[in-house]
Amino acid sequence: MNQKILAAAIVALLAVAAVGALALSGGDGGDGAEQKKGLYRLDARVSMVDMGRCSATPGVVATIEQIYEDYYGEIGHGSLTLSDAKGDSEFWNQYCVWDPIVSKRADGALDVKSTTKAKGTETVVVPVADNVLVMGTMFVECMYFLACTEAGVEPYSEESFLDERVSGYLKSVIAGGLKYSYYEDNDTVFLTYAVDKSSYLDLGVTSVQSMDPEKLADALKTASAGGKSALYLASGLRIVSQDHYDNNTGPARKTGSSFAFFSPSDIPGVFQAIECIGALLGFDDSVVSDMIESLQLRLYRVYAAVQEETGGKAPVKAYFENTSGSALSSEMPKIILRFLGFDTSLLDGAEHDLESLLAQKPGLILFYTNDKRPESERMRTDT
Amino acid sequence: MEGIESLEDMRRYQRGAGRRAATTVAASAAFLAALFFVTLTIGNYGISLGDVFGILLGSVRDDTAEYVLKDVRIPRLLCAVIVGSALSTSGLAMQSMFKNPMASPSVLGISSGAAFGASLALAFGAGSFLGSFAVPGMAFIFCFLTMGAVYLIAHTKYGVASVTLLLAGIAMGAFFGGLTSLMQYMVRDDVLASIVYWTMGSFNNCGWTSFKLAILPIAAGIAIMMLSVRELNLISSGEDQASNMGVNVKRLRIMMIVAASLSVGGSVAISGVIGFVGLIVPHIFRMIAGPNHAVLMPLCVFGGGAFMLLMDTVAKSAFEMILPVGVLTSLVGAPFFIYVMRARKKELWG
Amino acid sequence: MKLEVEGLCFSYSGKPVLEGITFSAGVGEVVGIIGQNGCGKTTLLSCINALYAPSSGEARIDGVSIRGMPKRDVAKKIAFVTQSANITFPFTVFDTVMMGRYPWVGFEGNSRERDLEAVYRAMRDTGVLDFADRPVNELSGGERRRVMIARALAQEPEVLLLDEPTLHLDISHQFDLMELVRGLAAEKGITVLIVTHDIVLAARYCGRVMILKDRGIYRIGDTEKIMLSDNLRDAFFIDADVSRDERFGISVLIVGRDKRGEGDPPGGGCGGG
Repeated sequence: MNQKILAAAIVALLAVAAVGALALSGGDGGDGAEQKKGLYRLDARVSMVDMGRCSATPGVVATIEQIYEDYYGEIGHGSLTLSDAKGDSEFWNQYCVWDPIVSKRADGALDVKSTTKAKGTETVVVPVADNVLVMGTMFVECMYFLACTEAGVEPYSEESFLDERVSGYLKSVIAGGLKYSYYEDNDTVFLTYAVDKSSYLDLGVTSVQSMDPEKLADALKTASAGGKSALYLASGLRIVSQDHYDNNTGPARKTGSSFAFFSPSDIPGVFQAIECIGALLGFDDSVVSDMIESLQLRLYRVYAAVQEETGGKAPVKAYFENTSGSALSSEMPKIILRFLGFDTSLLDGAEHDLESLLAQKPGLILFYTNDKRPESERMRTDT
Repeated sequence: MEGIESLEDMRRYQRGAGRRAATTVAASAAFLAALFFVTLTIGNYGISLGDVFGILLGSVRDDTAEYVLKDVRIPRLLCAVIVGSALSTSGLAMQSMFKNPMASPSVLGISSGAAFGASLALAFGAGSFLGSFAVPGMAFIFCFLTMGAVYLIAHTKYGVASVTLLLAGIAMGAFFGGLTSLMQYMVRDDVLASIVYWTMGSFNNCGWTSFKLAILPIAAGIAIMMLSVRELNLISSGEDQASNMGVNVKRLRIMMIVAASLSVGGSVAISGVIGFVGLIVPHIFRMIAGPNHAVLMPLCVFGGGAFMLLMDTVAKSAFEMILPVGVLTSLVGAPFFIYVMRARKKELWG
Repeated sequence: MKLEVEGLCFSYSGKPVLEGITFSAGVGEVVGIIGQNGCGKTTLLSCINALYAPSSGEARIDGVSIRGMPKRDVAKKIAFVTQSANITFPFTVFDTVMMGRYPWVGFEGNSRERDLEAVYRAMRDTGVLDFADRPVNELSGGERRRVMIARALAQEPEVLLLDEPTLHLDISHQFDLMELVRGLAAEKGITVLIVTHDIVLAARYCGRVMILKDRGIYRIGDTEKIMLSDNLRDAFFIDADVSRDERFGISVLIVGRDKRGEGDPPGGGCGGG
């Protein structure tokens, strides 16, 4: 075997491949018209949505409105009222009916159905709380919405961020919880404006699974000092073992504080959670129902507009890609997109190559607003 | 074979062996070319066989199909070919240099090192002085450092022991795994996702830009290895013996580490870590064609390309869900690794 | 003189292994190097071959120092057959012997035809033509040793260094191999240095013998002048009868451990025959 000849042959082959590649890829310039590349060829609507508001929290209503506007345009239907919504049983039964997980006791305390993967559902007795340690943005967003409703300001409006009643309330009730930098990173401004980092009892983690019981006990002790009633709120979805359960409940029991675990997973669940949090923090029933009703009405307006747009038509496919380049597969984004009349078959958690997307022709493409990939990579114009 | 008695017999023998080798290499090249044309017609965007050739010959005008074929499918296939060639030849060079049939970029933790370098560039903009080559550049640098470290750990004056080598690889893999975990712990979720992408190999984002980015380092790396086949033959029978026959072992060692780093760095930069290819391909061809690098090296170029082409096509279109190719090669490769370990344990562990 | 070694010293991690080694060997000479384990025999070969760099002193071939000589030039003049022959990858015998041509590749006056001729001669002379297409790892120990010598001969060296060539071979193959080496030296005028533990074979086949002891040369000279009971007792603490067999030459009979020498410091305890 003559190695020099072989080497030369292979180098030549690679050179030919490279030249061919340049010729093929560069050759399109001569056609005149700018060729559409990557996902732009689909002529699909592109919508950027907030990751935090794609889960079951009050903010999901805003996300639904935003996607509607991005895809269909003006929502309209301003004349619809809550009684119209209640009258539309198809809508009402699917999105506005839930089993309450909170009930008032004769002694003024509350019975809460607390749910964890480890223990299933158990009823815990919780007094109305003065102070909360919160592991989850859903909880703080509910508090924020309730405070806004009480103060009569629009959530996520500039006005609401500056409103001292809202920020004062949040500051007085949120003692600590989830790693503070998480809120900073995710631009949860209503919280960072209101609650000072220095007085925040930082548990240093973002998941109940990595909770340090010592730190939790210490924080709860501080939060309940002076006879205050402290409450520890978290999602029970990730409390999967006895140890997780003990780590998260033991400190509350030992410090005389209380705990409640719940995590809504659909739209009625959002209302269920708002109702529960409102009761736990001693909000007026009227404030709670005002807030719920206003969200229900907003939702119904979008619902009615969607029915009008999609009536009789085959659903359009939507494609929602996470920041690592594969499709989402979690439930809540699918619920949102189905609500908006889209086909969610592409939300399967897999990687989709450009060919399959061009073949499947989604009419709506969604990314998260915190997707830092360059547009060329997101839209796959890298050719 | 008849006995060799005269010089003429030996000349005939040499010519026969040369012809056999040339035939094998030509067959592998032909197989790669044929496979390339077959895979040209397979993809998630349906283009019929006739249309594929129609588009290539310019007789069919279908704007989207033409775009898919020329700007999506062909560059992806080409990327698979060069990455397959690069990983296979690097695997072969490492196996010879370490005198160990289990060595390969992923087994020795070198791909993880390169992926870490690439994600440093991606997440923190490290290596920006390299311009548009920042990602492959950082991949190359970390590849080089990791391989150097593995070599230094495993190399003793008695040679490179299999156990030490594999353990050194595990240690390096764990080290970079730890660094990546640390990074995951420190950075924000959105940056994290792009790091995860590099630890699970895929050609999903490979277009012409990726191809142009990777072809130069990969071609350079393969060329260096191709020109060193004689030295690799010698060093694969022991460093001292190679030195006794006049090989400048120190220089060869550095050249091979540079060449493999160029190839692996270029590959990881566009496709992330695709495991076990560098182990499987050289092994299969060594079983077919024997250990002579003058034959094996070109076989790994063509055969490695073909193997990756096949794997990627299966991964993207054989299942209901599109799989990242790295998942598939690991599923195939890990059992193969165990097979090699058991089948060749006598040579490996003495 | 073909090979001259002058004042060669070598230390390993600060510990001296060889000190002041000076000797020379002529064309076609077979020199046996004997001595106890760890006395630096293999190290000496490695220094001559430039595998190790001596801390002082040098080896010369035809008066030219090999220090600083490019590796390939050294390999054109000196071939070294090491003890170990563990094979990871199963090259054929032909490919293995062809590797010996490496130093000549691209050298002026060399050609593929010359390579082939050299390989053919080397294989013919060592009797391995029959296995040309067999993988080396399928050969017996003796066959494999001959292949390694063939590879060394393909280098067309002027000096051949053999480290324990007869190790692990059965007695008949040991004799075959030594016959082969002596024949090659005589026919091709190659200077051969053999490191061996086998005093019997060294006495029988080497024209000259060197005994290494205490990091230096203890004795060197014609075999019959060196292979004496006294020298063997001093170097190895053995009792040996040395006689001359009319058919074969010098014959060493190792009788047993030297009782008188036991416990004495090395170099001392010299008694009468």
